[in-house]
Amino acid sequence: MDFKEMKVIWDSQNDQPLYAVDQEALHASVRRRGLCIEKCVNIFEIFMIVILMAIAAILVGKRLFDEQTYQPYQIVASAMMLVVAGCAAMHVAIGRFRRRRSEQRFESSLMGDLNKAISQVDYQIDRLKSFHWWFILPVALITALNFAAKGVTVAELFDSTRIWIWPLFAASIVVYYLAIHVELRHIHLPRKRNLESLRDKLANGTAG
Amino acid sequence: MKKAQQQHIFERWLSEHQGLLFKVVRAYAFNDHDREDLFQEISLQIWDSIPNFKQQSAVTTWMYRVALYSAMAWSKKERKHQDKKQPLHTSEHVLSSNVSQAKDPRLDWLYEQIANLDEIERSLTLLLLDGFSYREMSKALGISESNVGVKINRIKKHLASKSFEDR
Repeated sequence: MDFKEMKVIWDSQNDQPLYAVDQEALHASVRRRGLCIEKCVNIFEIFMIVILMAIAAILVGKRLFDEQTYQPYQIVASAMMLVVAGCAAMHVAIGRFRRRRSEQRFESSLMGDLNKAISQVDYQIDRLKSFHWWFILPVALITALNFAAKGVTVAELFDSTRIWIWPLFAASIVVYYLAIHVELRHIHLPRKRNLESLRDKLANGTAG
Repeated sequence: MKKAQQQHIFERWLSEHQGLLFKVVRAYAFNDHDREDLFQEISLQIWDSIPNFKQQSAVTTWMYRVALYSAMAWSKKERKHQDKKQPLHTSEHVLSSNVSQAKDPRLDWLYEQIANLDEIERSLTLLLLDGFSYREMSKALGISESNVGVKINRIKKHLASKSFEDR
């Protein structure tokens, strides 16, 4: 069979659709699946911004309502908490803006789609790898500033009423590290390798 | 773009060009469960991409591009999760086989050969069989026409030799 014959056989299916589509079920499926694609990244970013601002606002707000008199260092610590949260939230927001703008530059082709997907995976990998810088560190700083504003001394942090914080803190660091590691290793890095392999195949026809 | 407008375009394009989606689905998914899943995945990608359609290419070329990309990404993901496959929810059945369709064993053979190609070659074969020019394929895939030519020659030779072997 030569290629012309194959084309004739191929074209024969055009008049006989293989399936009938249930439009109503399809719309339901599109709505349901659509909830969790790109939106997951957006929700994650917005959620992190809100959490950072909320932590600082709650702690500062609590201080303003609870305390009757303010020492200058308490005012400075409260202001710094807001500044730290604001800077971290700004960092997330700028990253988010850059990501969305960079997504516009990819050409409208399969190669462009692959490059865009690789860039999105890179963004997620980068976000995860630097999570401790833009989220954990600001939260730790805000917490430390909160202790400072309360006038809690280092010795008091290790007394018998607060000692339980430290094993909890150590455990959360371990869980954080494992979660990031597992997500990178089992989701994002394999996905990136797959996409790069497709792109190489498309460009050169050599990659396996 | 308003949702109602997006929905109208989606329904129109889907009814006018569903045949090409079925071809992609059949070339990339090999049982009813997977075809159902892939068809829904492609439909979602088309729905999501409609606001980005810039009319720089024909609707069929654009739909092919979105469908092929979705199919490639899906098949990579699916291969990894084959062992952990979850059954689709009963309400998720979108496709039903058209029983009136006459089965041509030569078409089955052709799909079988396409399925044995890698993801990129599969996409080129579908575009080629659907009569896209090298220029259109080059634009849809984002590679040079000479690259398309090299790959197409290889595919044609491969299909011809398979046809000769299976005769």
